[in-house]
Amino acid sequence: MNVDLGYTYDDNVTLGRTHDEILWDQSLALDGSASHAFRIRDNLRLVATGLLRGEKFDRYNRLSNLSGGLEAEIQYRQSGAFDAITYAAFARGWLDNYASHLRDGSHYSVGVRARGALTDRIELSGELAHNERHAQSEVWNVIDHSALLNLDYSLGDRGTLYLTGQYRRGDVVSDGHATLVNVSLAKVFVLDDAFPDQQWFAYRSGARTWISTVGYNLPLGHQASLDISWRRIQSTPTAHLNFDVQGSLRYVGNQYAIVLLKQF
Amino acid sequence: MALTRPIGWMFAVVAALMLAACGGGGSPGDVHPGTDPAVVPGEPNAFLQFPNPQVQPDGSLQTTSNAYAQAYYAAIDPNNTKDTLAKWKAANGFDTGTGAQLTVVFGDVRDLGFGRRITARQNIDGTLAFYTENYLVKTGGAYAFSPINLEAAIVRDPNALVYVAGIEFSPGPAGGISFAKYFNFNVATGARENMADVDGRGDKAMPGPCIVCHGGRADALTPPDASGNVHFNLLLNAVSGARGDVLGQLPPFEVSSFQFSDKPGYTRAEQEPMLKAMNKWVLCSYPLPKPSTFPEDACRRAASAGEWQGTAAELIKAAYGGDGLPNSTYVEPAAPASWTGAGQTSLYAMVVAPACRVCHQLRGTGRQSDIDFTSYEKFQSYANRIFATVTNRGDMPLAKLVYDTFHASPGEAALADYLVALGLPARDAGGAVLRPGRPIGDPGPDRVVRNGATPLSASNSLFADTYVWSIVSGPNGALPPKDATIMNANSAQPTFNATTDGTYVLSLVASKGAVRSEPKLLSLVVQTALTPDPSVIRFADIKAALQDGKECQGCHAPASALHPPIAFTNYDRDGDGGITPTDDAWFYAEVRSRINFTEIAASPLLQKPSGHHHFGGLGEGFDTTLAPGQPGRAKYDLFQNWILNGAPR
Repeated sequence: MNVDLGYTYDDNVTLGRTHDEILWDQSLALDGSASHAFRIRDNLRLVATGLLRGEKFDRYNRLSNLSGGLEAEIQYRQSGAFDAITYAAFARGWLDNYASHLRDGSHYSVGVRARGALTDRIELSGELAHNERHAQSEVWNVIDHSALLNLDYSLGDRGTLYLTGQYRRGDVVSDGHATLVNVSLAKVFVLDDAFPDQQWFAYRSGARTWISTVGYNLPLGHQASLDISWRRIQSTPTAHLNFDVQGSLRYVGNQYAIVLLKQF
Repeated sequence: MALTRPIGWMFAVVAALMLAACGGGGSPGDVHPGTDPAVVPGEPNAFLQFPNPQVQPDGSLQTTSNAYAQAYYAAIDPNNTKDTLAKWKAANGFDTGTGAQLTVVFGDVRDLGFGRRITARQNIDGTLAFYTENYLVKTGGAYAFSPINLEAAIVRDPNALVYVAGIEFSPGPAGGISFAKYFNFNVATGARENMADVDGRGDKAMPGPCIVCHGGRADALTPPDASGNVHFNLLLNAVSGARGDVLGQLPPFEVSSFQFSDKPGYTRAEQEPMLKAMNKWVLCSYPLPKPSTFPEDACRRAASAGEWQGTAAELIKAAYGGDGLPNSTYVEPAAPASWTGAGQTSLYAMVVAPACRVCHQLRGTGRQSDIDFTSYEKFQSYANRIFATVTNRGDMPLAKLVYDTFHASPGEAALADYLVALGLPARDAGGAVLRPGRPIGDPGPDRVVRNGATPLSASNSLFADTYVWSIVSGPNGALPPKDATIMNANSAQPTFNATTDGTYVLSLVASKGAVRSEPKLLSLVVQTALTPDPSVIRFADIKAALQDGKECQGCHAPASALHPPIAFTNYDRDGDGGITPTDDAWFYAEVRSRINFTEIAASPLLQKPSGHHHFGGLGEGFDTTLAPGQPGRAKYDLFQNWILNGAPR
């Protein structure tokens, strides 16, 4: 069983495009997961994991949420050799309950993964997934496809450095004013109940999104660690606007996180 | 075993979340861009249509038909020299470097809700042309103005360009006096289009959605000529003498009702000079009722007695400080003196200025101008019609946006109080303002009939789908009535049958769902000796009444110095050199054109001779203060029974 307690500072919690649409916030999150492996054959097993997550935001409390889910993953490893690759197929479903009821709903992912060691210090993993989310408002009925590549570099007792790059193609949700650009990009929008004093609209649009993460995991004894990471999110709308737009259409956000991980 | 318990807890939490989350299905607040505003069945939806849409024998509305637009364009552009936007612009001298040309961009907050980019020009010969790119970002919600529309007009977002309108003020195909012509062009191809969907509530035939507010008239088309072609009607009081001159005008730019951007180049301060110049050009298109020495009037031709007198000029002048237009910026004018003198300034400010004036100031003629509402007395003379159209029918205010704004404003209550004070029931028993959309029974007008079977109709009832007819009283108030029956009394088309002469009072209750109308009473005067039998009245009988040498023809003749709107004499209407049966068919169409089959009592053919807003006053035989069947209203009864029978030729 794993329990993680994390703090995140997000400089663009709205995934806003222009400076007057960008809000920052900080949050505390508590994650818990418990797994159980079922052996099927010597090199094939099923891992079932229960997931629970609570997140409390500081400035915009209606973004706070409680989610719970289940993941099932079938893992296959050709052999016990050091450089043997582990292949996996997974399905994961969450139920989401937000203080902003428009966001209430569920989300799930299905995909495949592969993981293997390149050297005794470097481990590489990759993932392809289909992701869907369904919510009270259609704005958060989001579908995307993602490809992820992760590289872990072990520093031995001093921990692990990791780099993650993820590409997502599909829907993103942003918040902003009811401007021509935003409405033109939007597939659907709604007055967002997470920012009740702002009269802001949340809108779903198609985008190409790059998420890059660099992090460092510092062991704290055998069953605990401290993880520090910086994640950069950049979305570029796929819709083509037939008029000149001042400034960029990109949405950029940065998340800085520090997480205490504890295994029981 | 150590893992089993936490997983069990997690399942329990997931189950609880499942109950709490329950996502999917969409929120009522979700908006899908690109969708048109919803049209709610059963609610008023006769916006931007003429009160008399020219109902044809088959029930179709001629003024919304393709044929109507085709005939219009054929009249103003017989050789199709302006059948694309490019050709139209070239014909009007756009971008030639001659004359003067201006472009303004603003939000039309009040009337149609568009972001508008208007390019206007005044040519050296005095002709004018304006083309308007109308931008509407369809957000799927209520039909309303949004600053986004103004943004779209500024950046010229092609996805938000909903229609391009062109108006020119120039001579007709045969030359002569300039008049306004209206065009609609496809936003993608630039091709001229017969139909325009101005408010997302369906296509309407050109020039209808333009001229309905720009002072235009919508008479019926002519029957086919010798070549089989139908034509736009020739309006006798059009000074140009041209088919296609619908008496439409150029409306003033009421700058105080616009929204402007704060973007450089598009601010109000930057655009005021151009808007003033454009208002001066508009002023040039208005006839001048009396000589003037002011420079802004030098370009105006003298008004003839019978035509519209350029009433809207007073608004433009007042907005810029009066004669001479001394002020550089437009300021909403104060209420005219008549309104102030009557103590009705607030009624003007809350009702007339925002909801009536933009269209009504362009209406009326030199002989009969009550409908322009420029004075309180004129407005009051239309109180009954205002009650009918605003409180009951919901076809006024004319545009959906103005209608919505009006009914959400204090003006609605102010108008209701005004009408109640005049004895018109604009509030219900509980004091609530009555709004259109409730069922209202219309059994048709009181009338004289013969004994025997008399068809009745509730088809002009409003917002209703079921009907209950009953006989309230018989001759001399007999209760219960004798010698009379109603067949199919729960239908829209029942048959009344009386065997004894006298006055019968019937009642009609119309319903929409569980909502019932107030009973509407109908008096039927049964006269066995009535001649002619209503079922055999034909146009020949009507023509004979119009041409009986007493009153009508004296003014209603093509050569009359009074320039009436219609002639009731026989003349060469189709211009083929002789008076033929074809002319009689055209005559019939013109007379039928004066019938409003959607509200029979409002037909000009009945209203005018009975002394309502008629320069000629009350005609002999049209005294509607008398009961049906009285000799003093014999002609009215004749006309009305002909109309009730479908006005057959």
